[in-house]
Amino acid sequence: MTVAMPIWQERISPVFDTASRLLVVRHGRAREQDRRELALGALEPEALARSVVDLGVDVLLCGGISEPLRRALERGGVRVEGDLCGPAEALLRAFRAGRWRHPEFQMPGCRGRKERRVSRRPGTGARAASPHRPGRVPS
Amino acid sequence: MREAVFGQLLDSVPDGVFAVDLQWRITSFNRAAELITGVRREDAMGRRCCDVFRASICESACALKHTLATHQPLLNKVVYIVSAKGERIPISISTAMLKDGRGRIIGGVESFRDLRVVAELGRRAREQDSFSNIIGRSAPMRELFDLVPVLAASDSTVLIQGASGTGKELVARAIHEHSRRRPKRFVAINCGALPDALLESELFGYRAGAFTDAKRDKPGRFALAEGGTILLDEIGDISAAMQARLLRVLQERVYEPLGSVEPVRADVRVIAATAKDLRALVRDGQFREDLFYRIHVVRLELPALRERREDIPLLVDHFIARFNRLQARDIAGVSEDVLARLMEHDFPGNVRELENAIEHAFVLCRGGLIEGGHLPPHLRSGGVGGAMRLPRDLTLGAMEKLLIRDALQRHGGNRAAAARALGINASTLFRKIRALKIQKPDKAKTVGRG
Repeated sequence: MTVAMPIWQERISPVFDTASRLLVVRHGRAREQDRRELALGALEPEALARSVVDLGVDVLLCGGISEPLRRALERGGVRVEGDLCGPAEALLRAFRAGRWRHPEFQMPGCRGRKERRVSRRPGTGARAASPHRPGRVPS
Repeated sequence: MREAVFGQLLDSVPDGVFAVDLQWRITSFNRAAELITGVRREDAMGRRCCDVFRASICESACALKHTLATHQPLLNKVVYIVSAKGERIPISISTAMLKDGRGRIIGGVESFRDLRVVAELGRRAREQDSFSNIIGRSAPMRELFDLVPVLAASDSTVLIQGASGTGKELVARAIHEHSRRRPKRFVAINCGALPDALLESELFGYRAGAFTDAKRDKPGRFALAEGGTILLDEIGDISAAMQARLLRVLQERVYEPLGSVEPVRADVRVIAATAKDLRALVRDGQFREDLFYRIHVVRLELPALRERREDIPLLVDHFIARFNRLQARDIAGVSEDVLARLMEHDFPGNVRELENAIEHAFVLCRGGLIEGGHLPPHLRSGGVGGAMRLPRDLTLGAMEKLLIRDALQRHGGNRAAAARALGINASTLFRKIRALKIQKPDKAKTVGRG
């Protein structure tokens, strides 16, 4: 499974729409297999979503994200876990442990935002796990 | 106690306001900030401002960081935030430093305004000042705006009277647009511009073989407007023969295309317009009385622009916005001098003349404000003046001399700029300056001229 996260000052970026760097981490069954950091240009929502989809990202962990961008990503089969904040590495660990919806990683005022199921992209293993159901993320 | 009052004061402000400490933690968050961001105060307090505010510039160009680093406040920078619901909300932000009693910086404060509200207010204001592209807030225009929907609800023939450039066609179109006939066509024809034979074939069409070149049927304007509305503009200019034919259409709702013996029924609403005094034409025997009363069912008199001068600033803004949009320009407006000049002008050509003046200014003005020198010559204050103020015995050569001298003065003696303003080549201007023996103007005289 490939997880991506916009990062800034070693934390998750506050707004994905204007993020400048993207951390892309590939997980195996038990551990991380590789990671890379990419620069993001100033792109319109559709183009930014296409870049993320083209990277083969299954799950995007991000902070604030506009609805047009979220919808474009979801149309491309990317599961979006938005409204997250906090240190990037701690959030990645929490995601692997299924604890990423812990209040310490929640952006203020975003508790009620509706999560949606995403159609599974063939061959990627991406699936729509309920964010409110703790458990290990399948690889 | 003082803090409670301060809190109430902040909550009464319509703009969002928040303050941060030097660790970028939120220390104050007012009611408007809650409404705009969708984040409650208790959730925001103590949190990092970027996680609460979620602005497009948080990562790349934080305004508060800039202010705290440079000690310079920032005013009305336009950015957007992503609300808790995922909306991109355009806002304008301003920042300032927060200091304690001893002048030490203890944080920053940022205020922000929801530009959607500003845009909505602007839209509503524009809506109130216009009706189907007719611009005005003066009393006669307000009466007109009230009357148009009433007229649109009926099928009666309407006569619109008004001087050239007052917007007769716009009003006719507005009546059509608000009527049940809206799905069908609005067809306008200038009756005064065509000779009788041509007008007849234009209005009623013809059948193949009606005349030598009539190879096939051609529908007339009445046929094109079937189910819709036809505007017969300049109806006061049609001949007696055409008046008779039109009277039949209006009375019996039938007409015969040229070369046809079969009458065609017409379900068309007729709006007639004229700049002439039809009643006077009837008195002089130039217009049929029966046709006059047939089209005079409801009469609308459009005011001349000089009778509604208070609409001039609104119209100026409207035309500037329109030409900015059409020509991808960013002209900011007109200078106070220009507005004053426009307000005092009588505009014999009415709104069309004003529109042409602004279009003229767009050609000459490169950016910023439209100044006096950008207006057409007859509108420039202190220049050679309008035709009415010219001496009676002025020759063409003397007038040319005056115009050239005026252009040179306005452009500080710059011959290339003066040539552009006059719409001639620089070399032509040089030749004329020599031929007319025009002296180079004194630069000091140009100071303060519009």
